[in-house]
Amino acid sequence: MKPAGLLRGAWLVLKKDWQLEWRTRARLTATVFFSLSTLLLFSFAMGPNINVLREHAPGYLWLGILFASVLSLGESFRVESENQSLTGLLLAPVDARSIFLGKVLGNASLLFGLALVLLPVTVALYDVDLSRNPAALLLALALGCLGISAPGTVYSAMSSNARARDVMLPLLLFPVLVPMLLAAVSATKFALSKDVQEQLPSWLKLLTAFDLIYLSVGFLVFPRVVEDD
Amino acid sequence: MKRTLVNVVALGLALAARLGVAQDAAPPQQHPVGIEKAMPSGVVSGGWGYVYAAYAVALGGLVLYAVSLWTRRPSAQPPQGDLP
Amino acid sequence: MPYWSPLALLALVLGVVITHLAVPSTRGWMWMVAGGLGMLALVALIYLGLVWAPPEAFMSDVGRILYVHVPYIWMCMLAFTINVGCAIAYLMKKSWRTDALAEASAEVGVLFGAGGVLMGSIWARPTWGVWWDWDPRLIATTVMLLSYVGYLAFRSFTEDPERRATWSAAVSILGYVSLPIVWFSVRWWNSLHQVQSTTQTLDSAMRIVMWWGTVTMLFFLFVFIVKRYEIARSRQSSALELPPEAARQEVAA
Repeated sequence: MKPAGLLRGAWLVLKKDWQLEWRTRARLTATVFFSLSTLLLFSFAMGPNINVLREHAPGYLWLGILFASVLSLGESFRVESENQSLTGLLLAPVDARSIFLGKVLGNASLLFGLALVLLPVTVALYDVDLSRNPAALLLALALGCLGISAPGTVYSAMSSNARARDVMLPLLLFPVLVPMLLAAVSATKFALSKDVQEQLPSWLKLLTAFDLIYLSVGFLVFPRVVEDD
Repeated sequence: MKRTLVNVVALGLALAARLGVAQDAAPPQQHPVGIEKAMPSGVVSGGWGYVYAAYAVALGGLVLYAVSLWTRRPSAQPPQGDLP
Repeated sequence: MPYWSPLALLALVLGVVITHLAVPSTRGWMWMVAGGLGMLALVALIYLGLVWAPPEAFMSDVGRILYVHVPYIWMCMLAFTINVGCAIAYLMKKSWRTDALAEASAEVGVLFGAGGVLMGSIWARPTWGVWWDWDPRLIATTVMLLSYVGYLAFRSFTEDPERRATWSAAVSILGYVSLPIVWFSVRWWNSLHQVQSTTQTLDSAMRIVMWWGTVTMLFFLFVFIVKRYEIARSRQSSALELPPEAARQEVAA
């Protein structure tokens, strides 16, 4: 399939998902409030020492996003499987790979939006300084959210039908995300505080590599996952 | 005693060589907590309890899995046939 | 250890497993011979590891744990590699045998991996002073282990056999791809934070015992995979309920 057709198909899927999300807004709201509570719980669990909280804020932020992703990823395919609309999508002249790309971008944009909403919360709870390197911070957030979505979309397509689906998605997803979490937290940390050894570009490169690898593997594997569905 | 001293010196030299090759030193407070316990004593003494525990795990693992394979073995009369 | 030895071991194991599966006349005896040899080698390993081998320079007697720990981890990695090979093969050409071999190698890999990580932790306590640390090998192995536990759980929760085969192949590939990434990122994090790994000297006597341990575990790897494969095949046939044919030799050999 021509690249133009692939991207166009992805854009259609993305637009459809955005419209659906906006009409219900239920998933968005639930996810936002869930993450807010998570960040609050972290601040209570880790105690009142603001220096400790500030130092570990990137970790809390990314864990909050990660836990929320399990909710939102799980939902993204439940919608499809409940109405058999995935079959409909596949029967339409839209390549499965376009669907994959569209879904990944949809999930990633949702998580990115969530991350943006959480940023002022981290300022309030953990006293971080957002102004040090905002461009790098946004880039780290974007790459990380993409890194969660790429394998997450493949796994959620599979676990939406499995028994014990609620626990299957995190069970499959979390081990794979270990290096991404490490890189995203490190990149965020160096965007928020001093970067003595100039590590930030390298962590961003690692995140990019992770994203590219999982997008490619997902591209190859996703069509096989959704065929015969 | 002398052997312990020799070992400590050798360990120190090896570590010094490694540190020399590594990048420019970061502030030392970055290292993880456990590393201090591991470095200076030179030689680990005794520890046979750990050795026995590890060998028990190794053997136990093999035996238990073999038993689990035996209990799950297909019965002598599989009714169904071959698959492509 | 020569750089080509992992590949040589993989080729050896694959060769023997495929021979067992493809050549019916070997199915009756090969696994029994391997099992018997394995048990003898194991007894010898216990003697070699606990008595014959000299204490290691820095770790003294605790270093003896490595003679079982390292072979276990090697077997785990071999099994997982076989699994991902089957996954790729299955996606290229569907075959129930490939799927059964994938299931068998995953389970055996989890066995060796869990044992290996546990023994590694037991080794780490007197050596590093902690039960756990940011060693790239430890983290990478644990992540792989968790991925494959998820793989096995996923397989048991998916009821449709065809879907189970295809989807678990996808899970396997995604999980395996993370291995080099995890390794690299942890190792790089460590180098940035000046974390040193333990120095380890291996003289020739220790090298011999290490190889002996590897060979011992290879026998068991072969027997376990082959027997677990047979279990998987018999489960497949009862799940699919095809009309009976004369292929019980496959299972009853």
